[in-house]
Amino acid sequence: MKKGLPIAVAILSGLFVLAGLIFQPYLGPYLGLVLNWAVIVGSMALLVAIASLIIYHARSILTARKGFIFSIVILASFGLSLVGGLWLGVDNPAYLKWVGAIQRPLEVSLLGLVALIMTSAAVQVFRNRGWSPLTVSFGLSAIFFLLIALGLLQTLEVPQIATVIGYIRQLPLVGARGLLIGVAIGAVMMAIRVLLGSERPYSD
Amino acid sequence: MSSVDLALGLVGVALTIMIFSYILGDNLFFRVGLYVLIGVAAGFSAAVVITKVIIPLLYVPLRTPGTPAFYWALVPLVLCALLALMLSPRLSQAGKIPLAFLSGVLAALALFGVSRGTLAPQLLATIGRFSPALLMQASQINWAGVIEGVLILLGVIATLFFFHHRQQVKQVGGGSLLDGMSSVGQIFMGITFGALFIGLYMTALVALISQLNWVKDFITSLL
Amino acid sequence: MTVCPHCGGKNLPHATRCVHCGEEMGAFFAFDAQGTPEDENAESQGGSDSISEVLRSLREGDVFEPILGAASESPQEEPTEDESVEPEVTNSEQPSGPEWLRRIRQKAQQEENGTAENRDELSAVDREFNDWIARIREKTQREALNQARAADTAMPADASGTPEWLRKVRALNPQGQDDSTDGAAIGNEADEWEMEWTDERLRALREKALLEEPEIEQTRPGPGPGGEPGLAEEGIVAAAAGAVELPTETRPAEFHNIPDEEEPAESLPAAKALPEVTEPALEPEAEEEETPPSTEPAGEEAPTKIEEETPALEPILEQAGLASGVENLNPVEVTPDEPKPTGDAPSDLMLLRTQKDFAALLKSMIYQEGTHSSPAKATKAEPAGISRFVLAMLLLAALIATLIISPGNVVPSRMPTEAASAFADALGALGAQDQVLLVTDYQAATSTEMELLLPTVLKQLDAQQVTWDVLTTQPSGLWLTEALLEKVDPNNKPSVNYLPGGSFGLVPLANGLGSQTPLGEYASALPQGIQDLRDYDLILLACDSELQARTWMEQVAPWLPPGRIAVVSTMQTAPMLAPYYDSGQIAGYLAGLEDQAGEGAESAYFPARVFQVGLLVLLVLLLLGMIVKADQDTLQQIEKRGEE
Repeated sequence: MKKGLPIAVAILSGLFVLAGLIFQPYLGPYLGLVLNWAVIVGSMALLVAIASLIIYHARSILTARKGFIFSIVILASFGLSLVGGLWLGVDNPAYLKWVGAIQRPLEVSLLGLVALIMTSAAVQVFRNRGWSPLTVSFGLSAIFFLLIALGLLQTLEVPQIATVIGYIRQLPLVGARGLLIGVAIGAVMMAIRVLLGSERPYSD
Repeated sequence: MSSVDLALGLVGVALTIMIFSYILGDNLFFRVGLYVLIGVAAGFSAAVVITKVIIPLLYVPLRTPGTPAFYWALVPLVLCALLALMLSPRLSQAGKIPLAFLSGVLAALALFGVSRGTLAPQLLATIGRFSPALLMQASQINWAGVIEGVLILLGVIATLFFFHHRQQVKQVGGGSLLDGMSSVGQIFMGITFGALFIGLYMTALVALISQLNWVKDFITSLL
Repeated sequence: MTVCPHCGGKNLPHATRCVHCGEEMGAFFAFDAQGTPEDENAESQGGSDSISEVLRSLREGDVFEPILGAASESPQEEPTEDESVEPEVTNSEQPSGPEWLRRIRQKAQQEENGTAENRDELSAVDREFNDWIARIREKTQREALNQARAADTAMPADASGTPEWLRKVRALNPQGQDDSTDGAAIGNEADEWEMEWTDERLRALREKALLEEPEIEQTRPGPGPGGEPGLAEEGIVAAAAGAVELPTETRPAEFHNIPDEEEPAESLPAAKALPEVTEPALEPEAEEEETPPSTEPAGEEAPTKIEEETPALEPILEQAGLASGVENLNPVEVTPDEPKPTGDAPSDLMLLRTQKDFAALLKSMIYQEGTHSSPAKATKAEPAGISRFVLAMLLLAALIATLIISPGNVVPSRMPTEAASAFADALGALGAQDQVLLVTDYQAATSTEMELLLPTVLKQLDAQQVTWDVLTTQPSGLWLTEALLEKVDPNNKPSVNYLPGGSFGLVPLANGLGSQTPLGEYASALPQGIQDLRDYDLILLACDSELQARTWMEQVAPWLPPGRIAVVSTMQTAPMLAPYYDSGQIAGYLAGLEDQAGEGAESAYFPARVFQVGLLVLLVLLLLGMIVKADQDTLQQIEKRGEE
């Protein structure tokens, strides 16, 4: 019973949404209602995840666990951000400006750091992976697209080169389509398994 | 420059340096920067969810008993309460029900959306390359179109083959045909990965240059 | 024997219901160490007994009679599930036990804390105690094996193949075991069974058993058959407490690690028995539970002396740190769920979790013999860190130098891609009567790149007098969009709407599923001003990842006419957008700085030369990596030839 209830809930809710999508003229309003519930529950799940994070760090401080100083940092920044949002309102321009002034440089710098780390990845990719059709085509493709991005080939202004560039630019489409179809097949299979109750991501 | 802008600018410069200090290795400043980001992002997200979702969609309807909106809000209220019980280790099992609800809904949306939005259109687009309208031009065979169509079809099949059977090929060995197919798939995958790698690098490079440029501009404005 | 309080009929000591009148017999699942006040008084009188005297009385088997009786007759509450999970804590927090028991506990504690030297200095009493325990074990084992043989031959099976002993056991507990502590333990075990023993794992283990039988044999002090790995570690005392209700007939199903002279160790676990104890083997069990239970009392004959002793001994042995001895008496191992009531047990199930991990580690070590091992990687880590530092500093220095010396703030114009041209066409086709929805679905990290493209596009919309609304699907989109609008400074600044819920919110928006049901209205998550995406002539999706773009293609695009969505994205997403453009699902897309140049936005401020330097550095490093690898290979080949 304990096990069966979540499975039944997953199957029934999934089948209802599927039915609502197929028979939308009849079930559309109720589909909107169920999806509205999902929005609320999903948002609550986010809140629970955040609460769990905060509880963990609060415990770290109380038990003086190793690295609890970082827990103080996270709790202080979380508290200021949350209280500011609830007090001033999340649409308040001054509040948004403050949040943006902290979050933007951090996120942009982290992404910038990726560029710095990728330089060493570029050197090591062949040393670690060796030569194979995958690595060779990867290297040639990377060099070609770098040259295009540099704009060196375009400056030659030769029409044939432009045609060749146009064709080669199409090539990633093939692999990307294969990847998309592969991922889609995997997603469909997983969804069917969830709807049949043989896959239970909620039990983990 | 106002004092607020000055303060925000100084905070931004300090945080930028903290993050870039990672080049020297994982250190205290980098970690502090990271935890500040997590804390601010979590706090802001929580504030948005509370003010934009929980209050208007759950709390407000429950303040008007007897209305249809009140009764409709009882279901998510129960599910949210069960979800909140997950915070207690002893009662965490109760959270399975709302999670199962979300999983079921998401699975249905994925099944319907993926098949209609990716699987069918992409397969049709691959096969559509062989439509007579494209292959015949003025009662002449369009050989460029034929070659392009064959190349794309072969590439997609080989990529899919490599994507799904790479382990089998690696372990068992598949004979010359399967190995050949796998190699073709690897080539197309490699080309796509190369393009993705350069795309990611360029995006990261733009972010890096923008941030360096912003720091430079800020310091210049102070001098 | 236990006398029923309702009808006075005789029942087995472990019976939960009277076999004569069917009434509840009372609580049985009590910790033996938790005596009632009467017990404590009684025991306090004998509290001054020496351990030798206690041991003597233990041998005679009469000491546990009052304890057992008190345990079965006292109105003590049944242990809850929590107690069964953490019984050791409960017991250790009971200082009010009998004196002799307290002494044994203290001794056991000392032994636990003691070192090898301490063990050598065992007192005569301890040796006597240990010898006695060993004798009990041997005797129990012999009894068990004899009964197993007898049960195999003598016990008839009914039409469904259920052995007689199993039906009798079920008759004693007709409600199933859900309500009891033991039942909880079994329930947990079943859960873990399902969790742990998948078909794949069993297959792998079976192979492993065939390969590594000798090694696993040596690491087999775990619980008996059905003794789920790790169960003994987690719930020994719970199992011991429940031992009271075990029917004696089920003892043969026990299995232990004591070498048996009569039965060679090799003959006990059989790998071929594995398929019978996997999940399918449990299924008929569940079906059988629906059959009406037999009212016939089971096992009326008096239990043997050892059988009387062992249930009460279990907590003591457990407290004394002799877990392996207790495991042999683990009731969970001999429950009716056992698929085979014989001495033959699957070797897999004999392993504790830790032992299984050791076996897996050993297996992986054997597999990795002669292959590239992780220590080699660990030695590489340090130079990789240095090289990363050097390369990162190289790039950083090059960028900063170019930024200071000659940033080159104008992005050179390029030949636009086909998708960018299509995007420009879609945008150019809009007029004053058209409505556009701008959706900002990107992160702060990529905001600089997005803000290189979006202001140009939005200014063009303003120039064409197109009305546009703004929607964001990310919390951070609220301030990111505000920042974007500040840069654009539109004629009529729109308010930023927030749509929560990702896919859950997109489907109602794409279908115009408002807030109305036939039974009344509900509070909808859709923004007030934006109720239906079909109202818009073009949806301008600004997203920075392939995943978000795919979500829009899958949850929104199928509900809209083709070509209603145009995408502004980053360069990292461009390769994955190409298939959607090729299939006609999106009208066109702009992807980052390249297409910004193609759009002819020369006025955009960006240090383009610094960007080119960064690309050049990567190009050089990629070539360098190829050359170094080729050089290494050549050197290796030369070395090989030299060796040959």
